[in-house]
Formats: sequence, C-alpha cells, structure tokens
Amino acid sequence: MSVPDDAITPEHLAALLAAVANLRSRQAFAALFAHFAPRVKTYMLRLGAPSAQAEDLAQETMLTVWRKAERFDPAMAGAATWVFTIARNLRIDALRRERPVASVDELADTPADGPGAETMLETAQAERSLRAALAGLPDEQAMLLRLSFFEDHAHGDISRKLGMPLGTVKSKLRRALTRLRAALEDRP
Amino acid sequence: MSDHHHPSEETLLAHASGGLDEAHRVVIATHLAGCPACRQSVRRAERLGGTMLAALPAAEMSKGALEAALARLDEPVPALPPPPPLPAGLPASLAAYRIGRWRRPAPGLGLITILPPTAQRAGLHLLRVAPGMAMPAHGHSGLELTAVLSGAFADDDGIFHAGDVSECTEDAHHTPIAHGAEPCICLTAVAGRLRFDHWLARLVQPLFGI
Ligand SMILES: [Zn+2]
Repeated sequence: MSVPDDAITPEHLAALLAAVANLRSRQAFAALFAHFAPRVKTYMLRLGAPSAQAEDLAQETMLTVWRKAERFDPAMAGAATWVFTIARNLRIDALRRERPVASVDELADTPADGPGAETMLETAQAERSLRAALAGLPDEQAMLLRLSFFEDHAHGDISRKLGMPLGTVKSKLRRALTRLRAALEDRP
Repeated sequence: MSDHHHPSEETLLAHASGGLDEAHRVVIATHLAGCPACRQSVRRAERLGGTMLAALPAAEMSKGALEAALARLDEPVPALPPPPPLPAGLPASLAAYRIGRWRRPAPGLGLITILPPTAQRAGLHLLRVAPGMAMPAHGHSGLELTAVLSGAFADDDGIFHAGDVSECTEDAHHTPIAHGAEPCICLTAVAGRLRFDHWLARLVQPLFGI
C-alpha cells in the first residue's frame, strides 16, 4: 500500500508533510509513516535502544509529526531533517535521568531566524545535493559521521572504539564537515 | 567585544547529533540562543542528520504499527506541568530545571549545582565568582564547557564575555579569573567534583591582575 521507499524524493516528503499540516490528511500521514517510522526505528536500534523501545520511539516520533506538523517550516528544514530533530529530541528525553518538567523539544533552542530566502523546493534540493555529497565522501569520513550520528555518539567513545586518537577523530570530522560545507551551505 | 568565543565545530556537530551529555547540551543551548552563526552550523549538521536518517535501511515495524498510530492521532496531547518560574537573569535553556539557592562554598564564590556529576556524566553548575577571583579547580576528564551569563572572565585564551563559550578538553590546564568590576556568573559543565580545597588555597595568595 505504500509508495516504494527509495523512490520518495525530499520534495515529495515535504509535500506530504504540508498535506498533514494544512489538510490533516491521514493518507499523507500514512505515507510519511511508511517512509520514516522504519528508519527512525533503525536509528533508535543503532543507538542501543531495545527493540520494543525503538518501536515506541518511532511511534512517538510519528505522533509528534502529526501534532506539530503546522510548526514545520519548509524554508528552515527539509522533511527528513525535521523528523530527525524530533526523533533525536525524543531519544534525549527518554534517556534523561529524571522526568523533566519540559521536553527538549519544548525548549527548542532555535529562535526563528530563518534564511527566509529559501523556499520549500530549495530546501528539498539542498537535502538532495547533500545526499550526493555524502555519497562522494571518503569512506573513513563517512564512517566517522555515521558513528557520530548513529552509534557511539561521544567522540571519545569513537576514538576508543577505533583506537584512533581523539584529536584525529576530531580533525577528520572537521575535514568531512568542510567537504560537505558547499552542499550544506544555505543558498544566498 | 570583538573576539567572540564559540564552541568548536565538532561540539556543535555533537550537539546536533544528540551525542552531548545533558550538562554540555544545556551550555551549548545557552550559547545558541544568542548566536545566529552557531545556530546556522547546528542547522547544517541537523540537515546532515536528516539526510543520513533518510538513507538508513528500514527496520521491520511490528504488525499493525501504522493502524496503532492512526488510532492515536486524535488522542489529546499529554500536557507537561508548567516549568517553575525561572529566577531573573537566568537563560531560557535552564527553564526545565529547578534552580536552588546560591551556596557559598568559599569567600567570593557562589555555587548552584543544577545537575550533580556522576561517574558517567558531567555536572552542571552555576558559578558566581567575585572580581579578580579565580574559578574553582576541578578534576579533569573529558570535555569542559563554560558559558558566561554576565560579567567576564579571562584565561590563556583571552577574555570571555556574556554569551561566549570556553571549551577545554582533557589536560588543558588553565586558570580562569573573573575579569572586570562585576562578578562573573557562568554556567559550566564539567566532569568530576569541583575542588574547593584548591580554591581556598588560592585565596590565601591573593591574585593581582591577570
Ligand atoms: Zn557561536
């Protein structure tokens, strides 16, 4: 019943999110769910969540997408980026030692200072060119970025795991970021 | 005010990826609230995270997962209790925490521990240091981040004003000293306990200038 996942473009995902925000379309939600929920689950599993919790967090992420869809600003972030920040924040909340009085998401640290010039289409294109830039990164740099986002997290842990000095991990990460900068740069 | 001190790109990347300790994250959030340039860096790194998320292989969801989600769409949104009022002068990044009263572990020094350190995690403290006084010493392991909330301090890397962040790793030994006529209030994330023995010892030999 779902669209073949790999065929979904960033533009399509942003349009689905817009349909959820503006039309409260359950059908669009189902399509977003089909694409993102299994990937968010993978994200949580890679970060060490047990299977049941990974599934719960994927569900919570998608419910949050539904509830907050009207806050999605396509000029600020692509759909995948927005879903990523929601999933990341839910995981942070789940890991907190004490029940917070407010979630990380509630305390969003990003005042709206959008580039403004970016349209939904441009943001989606930026995600697309970033995909290409990531694919062109040297294997080692790509692996370090993957580890930063999806596995060991703390750079010190990565350094221990790979037996690579912390300074080297950091300088390689910095080099990867520099290489991606062109693709990541917001358009003028 | 010309030279601003920002967190490193790697630390901003770690913030965006969700890989920072809670204490460190709060310090970075404090800086981000006032720094559009670093917010931009974090957004770029988040875009990277989103792009990588979209490229992850799909895990198998349990049967009926979508139906379960659809059935919950109309549930009322659970409301969290409103955060306690934030004492004047403190940044919004602390809104989720209960802030106690200033304690005076040593003359010229005020301390509020927001998150006590554990073996695994850095502690988060508010420090108020009288002009000309040195910051307390502490056990060094891992990343230490300090955001200046008001006043200023000086160390080998220069002068840090409100909004600036000092980032130290591992064995960087430095002695920050409150700078100027006002007390320096800062928010600091450090591993290990703050050592006031050291701090007291330093007080015996007054420090002149910087
Ligand atoms: Zn900055």
